[in-house]
Amino acid sequence: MNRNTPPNWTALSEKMVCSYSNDELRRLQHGVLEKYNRRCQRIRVLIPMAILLLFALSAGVIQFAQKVEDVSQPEQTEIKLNGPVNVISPEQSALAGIEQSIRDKGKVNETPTVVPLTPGTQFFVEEELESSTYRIVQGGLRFATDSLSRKLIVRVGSLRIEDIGTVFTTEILPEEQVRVSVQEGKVIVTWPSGTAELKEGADGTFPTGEQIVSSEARKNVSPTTWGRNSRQTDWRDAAKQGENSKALTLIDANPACVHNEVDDLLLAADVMRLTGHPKRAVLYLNRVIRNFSSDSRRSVAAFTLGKVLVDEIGNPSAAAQAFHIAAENRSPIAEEALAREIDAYHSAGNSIEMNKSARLYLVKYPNGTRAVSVRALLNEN
Amino acid sequence: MEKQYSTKTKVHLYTVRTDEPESRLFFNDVFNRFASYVASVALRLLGDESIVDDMVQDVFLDCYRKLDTLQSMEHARRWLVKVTVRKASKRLHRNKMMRLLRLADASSLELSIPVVTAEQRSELALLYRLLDRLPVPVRLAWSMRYLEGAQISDVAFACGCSVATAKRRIRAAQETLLGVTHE
Repeated sequence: MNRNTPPNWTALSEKMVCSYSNDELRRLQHGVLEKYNRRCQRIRVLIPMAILLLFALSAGVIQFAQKVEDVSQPEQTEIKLNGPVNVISPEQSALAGIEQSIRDKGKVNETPTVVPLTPGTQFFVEEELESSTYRIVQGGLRFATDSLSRKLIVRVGSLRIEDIGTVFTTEILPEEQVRVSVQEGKVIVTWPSGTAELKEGADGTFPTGEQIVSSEARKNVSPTTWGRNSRQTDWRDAAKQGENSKALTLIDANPACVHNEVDDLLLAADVMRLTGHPKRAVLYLNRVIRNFSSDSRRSVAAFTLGKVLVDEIGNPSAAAQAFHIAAENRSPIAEEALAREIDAYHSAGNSIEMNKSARLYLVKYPNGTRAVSVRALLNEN
Repeated sequence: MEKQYSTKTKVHLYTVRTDEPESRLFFNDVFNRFASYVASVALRLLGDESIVDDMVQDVFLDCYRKLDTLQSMEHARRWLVKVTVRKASKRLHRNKMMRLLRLADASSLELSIPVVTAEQRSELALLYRLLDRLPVPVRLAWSMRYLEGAQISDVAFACGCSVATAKRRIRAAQETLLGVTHE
């Protein structure tokens, strides 16, 4: 034993002894077995309860996940339920290629919830870089969006309703009128002769203007036959005769009349460009690029898209990508497209890609018309 | 004299299954042989006779559940001491917490053993008051060594630590206790 330990503690502890008699031992042992049985009974009750709780939790989680899924895909479910609806989805939209890269960077990621109010509701969706435009042809739609990063515009004829993070309903009435009622937030309604701001709980009736397809006309033209019928009185003729405003009006009245054909899309892009709607031109041009990869006019569409993006929209990065597509093929404009790609990267301040394109230019066209300036640009960097 | 653990315990080799009558016999054997021993260890570690029976039942309840793993009487004895120390540790921690939250008074020695005189009782009360001031692992290591009289290797096994750690804890407790008693 350690010498420092006071000896009396150890000696005292030796007196702290418990000894049980046989009766006490039996009593204690009985207590142990009783405790064991009680514990087993508790476990028998607790395990089924735990399993039930687990099931309930799982059911709750699944229900919640389904709700989240419903919220994240509102358009698909709701539009499918409502008959003859012609939708140009974001996937089909002409900007999809360039837009996708922007989406990836998280700039565009929200879509509104749209609920048709009546089974016969017809509308078209146009996705653009910074906005979604819904053109209502018949019936009514209810919109709910909390997106501030992406504009939601609703058009009925010449009436324009711009949403500012809200829930509202737009419904076409007889005699070329539209009722707009706002449940939450506010909207700005613009028509040819005025503008109004509707706040939460407000309700208003507005004129649609002349461009809307009248209810009489709608009775005669079904959504599926619009394209073919309108082709006879055609926006194409108007466009070819240089009457671009008229062509635009006809396209606005029935966007489906622009068929998914290279000729139509290029012509519609020209109409949009020449009437001051470059973003809508981008839609059509990009549809050509996406949907007609083997067509020889694809490079022309890409070149035009690049020009529109750099000259009219001011997006040199996207323009460089478009010029890159134009330069891929061995078309007469490939050299010029590559040179413009270099310029676009230069304008966008992307020196790495610019140097890459410049080297490619010098390899492909060592004696090209822009070779001297490209060499100078490379030497600068 | 330092107490030694008995090495005379006869080693029974059982193949134990709790659903066999033989396992019940083994449990009875273990219980009858070690119940008093476990009670004594618990009393020395806690210094409170009122909770000893409860501790014994808890320890043997664990023993009954883990009967399959016990290989021999000697193994059962060492295992029972280890479980007793663990349960004592939990109880001491809980007491400390209760005192910290002012939900319980400072523990007083509860002894009803006739061989202890009033003077010895006051000395033991002083000892357990001092032990209450020590950290629980340090207290248990010291108690196992000097109150229970276990060898260092047994202290380390019972406390679930290395021999070096057991020695360090015992030394720390020793210095504190001697320092206080010399004051």
